[in-house]
Amino acid sequence: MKGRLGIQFHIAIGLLVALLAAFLINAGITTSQELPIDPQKSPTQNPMNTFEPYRTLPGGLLVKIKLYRSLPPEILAVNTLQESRLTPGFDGDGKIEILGRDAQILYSINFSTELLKGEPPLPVDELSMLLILPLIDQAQRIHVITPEGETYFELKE
Amino acid sequence: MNSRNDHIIEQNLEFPTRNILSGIFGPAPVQTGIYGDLSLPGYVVWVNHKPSLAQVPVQLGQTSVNVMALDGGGFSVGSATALNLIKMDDLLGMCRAVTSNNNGLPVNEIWIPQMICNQFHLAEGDMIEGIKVRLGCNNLIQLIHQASGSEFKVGNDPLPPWIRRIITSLGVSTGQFLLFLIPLFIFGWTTLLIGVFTIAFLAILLAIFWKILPGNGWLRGLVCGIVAGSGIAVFLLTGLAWTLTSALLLGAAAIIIGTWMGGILMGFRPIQNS
Repeated sequence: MKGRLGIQFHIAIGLLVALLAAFLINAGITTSQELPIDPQKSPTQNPMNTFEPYRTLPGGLLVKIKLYRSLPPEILAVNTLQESRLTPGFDGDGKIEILGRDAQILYSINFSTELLKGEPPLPVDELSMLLILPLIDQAQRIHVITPEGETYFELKE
Repeated sequence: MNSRNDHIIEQNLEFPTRNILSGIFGPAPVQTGIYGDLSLPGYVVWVNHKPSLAQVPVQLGQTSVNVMALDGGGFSVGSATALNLIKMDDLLGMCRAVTSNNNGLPVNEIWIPQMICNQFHLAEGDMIEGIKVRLGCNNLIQLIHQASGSEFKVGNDPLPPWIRRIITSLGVSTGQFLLFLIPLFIFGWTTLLIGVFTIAFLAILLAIFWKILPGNGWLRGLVCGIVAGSGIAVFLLTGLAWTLTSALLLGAAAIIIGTWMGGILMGFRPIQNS
């Protein structure tokens, strides 16, 4: 049959093919870990933002919000912390943002707006949540958005 | 030496010696042609599969028949027939060679293993180039005994070709895995596992679609590699949310491995005697 490989070349060419395939597989695995920032999932929506969850940071904002089944959300309180570990972002249709001047988004995370409580989780009509956000000098307002509506909290009068 | 077109049929070849390592990475071909002493009247048809031909001097010592080793790429008869590697032209050429060059001894019959008869739709008593076809066993030693006059019953029908193709492909993929082991492992366990999975997956894919794919083994492998590589890339992009670059790189690796596996499943060209 035409095109057959000579047996004497098999091992040498096979090793070259194996090296090439291994290089491509390895390059594929390596680049797969360099995932692009997904604004829907990333806790740091603003590419300028370098805050990371699971790491103790100096300062922070403890934000207490309340979600309702058929009303816009409320921001109940915002307290400053000496140090903090940020709330990581999750999949969900709720969003909390720290806004700077001209409504520039300085920080943003998503959260779930499912009104479930207890174990096993049971539906409720309202739910309070605590979220920890970074302390940012340029921050002007906190903005919470859910499918039911949105609300703002002024940080600096 | 006899020549048919550009194909040279070697005669009076010596049976190969046994080598444990031969065939460890894939098919093990020896030169095609006629093995044995041409002064003997008996002929059996086989393929240029080194391990089985090497059994002949070990188990039988002196044989009373000649073995016509057709080009099966170095695969066993079962694998070569399942992969359609044996050509009728080669068989006809060998028959012409023995009828015209047998030291004056008449060649009345040739014993052909059942699997080769099935591939060429030959039946007991058919005539090829004036030689009567005898349906024989699928084991070379038994086939030689049959040609020497011993009674041997031809066994049950062999496994269907598609099952033999899958078994052959998995055997070949094991050999290629051994060959690829160190290069893959250099890049780590994950690369090794993905490489092994890709080799096995493509081997099975090739075995399943071998008969319906066009062209030679390289082209069949390329087609399978492109199909599998595209599938893998789409899965990585949509299922695992890998980047486009990484999905394309893994797809390219599948294409290369597929093409290589297709080439190996064609068998090898043996080293020709000078």
